Amino acid sequence: MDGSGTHIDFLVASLDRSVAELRRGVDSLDAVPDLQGTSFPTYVRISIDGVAGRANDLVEEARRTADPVDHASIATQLRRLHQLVSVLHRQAGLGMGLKTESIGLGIVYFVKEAADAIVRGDSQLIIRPDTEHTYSSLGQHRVFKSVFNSVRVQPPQGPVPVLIQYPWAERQSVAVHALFLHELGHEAAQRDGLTDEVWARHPDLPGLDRRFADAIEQIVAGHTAAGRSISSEEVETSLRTQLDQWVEELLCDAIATAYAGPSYLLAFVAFLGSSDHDVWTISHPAFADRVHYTLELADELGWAAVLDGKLGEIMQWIRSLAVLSVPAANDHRGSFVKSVIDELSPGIRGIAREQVGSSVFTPAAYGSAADEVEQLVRDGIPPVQLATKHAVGRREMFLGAWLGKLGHSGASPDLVPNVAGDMTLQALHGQALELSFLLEDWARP
Amino acid sequence: MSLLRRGEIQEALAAHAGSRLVVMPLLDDDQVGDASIDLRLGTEFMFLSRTGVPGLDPAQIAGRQMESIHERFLQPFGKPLWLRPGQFLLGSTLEWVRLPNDLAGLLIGRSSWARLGLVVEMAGLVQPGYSGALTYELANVTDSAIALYPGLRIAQLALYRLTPEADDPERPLPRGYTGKYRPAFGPKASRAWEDKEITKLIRLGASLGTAPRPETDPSEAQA
Repeated sequence: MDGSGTHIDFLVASLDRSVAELRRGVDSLDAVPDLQGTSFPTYVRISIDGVAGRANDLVEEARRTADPVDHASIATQLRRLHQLVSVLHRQAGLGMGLKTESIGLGIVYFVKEAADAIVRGDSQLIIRPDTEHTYSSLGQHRVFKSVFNSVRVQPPQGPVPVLIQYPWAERQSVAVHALFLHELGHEAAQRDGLTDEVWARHPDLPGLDRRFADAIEQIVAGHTAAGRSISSEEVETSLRTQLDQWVEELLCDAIATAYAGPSYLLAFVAFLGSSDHDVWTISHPAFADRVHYTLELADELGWAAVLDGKLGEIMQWIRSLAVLSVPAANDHRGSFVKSVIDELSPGIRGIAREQVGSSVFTPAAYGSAADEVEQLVRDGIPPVQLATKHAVGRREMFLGAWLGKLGHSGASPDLVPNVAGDMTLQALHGQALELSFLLEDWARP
Repeated sequence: MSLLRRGEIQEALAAHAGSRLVVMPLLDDDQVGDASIDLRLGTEFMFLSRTGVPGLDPAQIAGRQMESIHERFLQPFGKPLWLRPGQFLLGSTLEWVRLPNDLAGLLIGRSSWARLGLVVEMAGLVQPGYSGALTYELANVTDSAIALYPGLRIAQLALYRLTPEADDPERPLPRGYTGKYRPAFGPKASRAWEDKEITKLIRLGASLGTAPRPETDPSEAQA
């Protein structure tokens, strides 16, 4: 299969998954009777059907041509359809009032267990659905600290609230919920000032200050040459914001990877793989760059042998995505940011590993249970209890679910979203999470 | 059909692949009794909200509408769930159960709870090849509320091995459960409307002139 074909297969599988999630979500909202009539669900359903129909047309078009230019155009149109699904996710959530059932107890327990390992200090988790088709944290620590300082009151005693949101239609997508770990990373980074620590580990801070000033000059000059007016202060503020936010994002990816291993990478690819891979914003690096740095840490932790051995074609494809985009010669901002992030990357990985400490998930920790867990997944049995009667750990469960389904010859990249969208597997996984906590606790004297 | 004893149950639990009896997790070894396995109460429940429907007529309530008249909730471990006098709830086993194709099960309440007035199961036959949580039909038939805790042993599963057909011992065993409650994670609402007999019975009434002709096929009706 050529690269473009693989990409189209992946995009179609990813779109199918998102459409199915949204359809299921709308059906569940619709099942709750209210006084608001039926026209809104009808609008949403017709839109979803339209997206699915257009996707089918594009698949047919892709089958009829081998021209890479046509395939690139079809891939772009599939990505736009994916964006439409995100719009519909928001509209449906807003219009139908998010009357969803609770997220599973197993996931709640898992996120709490991860928070205990990742975030220092006592936390009280609040996990709620969001209309946006994204995971997010609401930075309660930073907000309340600022409010308390402004009005000069002491923070209350007891656990700090941590508010994390997930896309409402993804309630049952247990494998994708590994992305909660990234959000816990934000809480840890803000509570413990981790981005400052990353900067402190830069190998040449005085030199960096000089290059920062040069970069501002070059960026301003570039704008002036293009006939646009911008002040040095504006560039400095925006550049500092971008660097700080990118460092925090990459640190959160690294913390999630240190804690969960490759399950985070696979969830990330399943959820965001249909976005534009080389598009960055002030707040987030491009998808390809994030995959690149995430893989760097996964390889450093020794996961390469496991992944490349079990997921041959899939890993080749993921590694091909992780080629860092090269800024254009006259893109002073892009070049500067890229070089700084590269210099900070070892510090990001180091701080992530230190933050997770003894809870870093390694191939050795997975290896002892790997075969049995993956076999249970293949047999369609919730991987809760090993033959030794011991409980399966949660990270082993997440990775076993992926590798049990993907770890066979001929597994292609489009299986990544297919596995994430396999609702029977996700339900098994959700139940297994809950039961493994019970089993573990039960065994304590 | 023969009732499995403790040793046979343990053998079935330790068997390999398709012939394995799965009860996951088995928190305590002594859940396996002389002639049954104790099963526990799970954390997910459903109750009838009865909003907007005068009663329960499987010929009229179908598909999503059946889901819409139920509300689902989670009860975390350690918190009591009070079942009020006369209240009816759907719950499920804590355990995920899979029967091999040569075993059938009978799910029944434990006598300790029956003596408190708790009805646990009213339709307890489990077909060979079934996999998933088993649904409890929980009812309190006393005039006092009963506290239930997820994780409690409230039921037992007796297992029967299917004997070969007397007139055709070579006839293969059932290929696995193909019923309407598959796969089950947590309690499942009734799918009584899927029983074709309802449609047939209504049509029979119309043919005999004893009931009006139905406007739609209830098995195809959607909310």
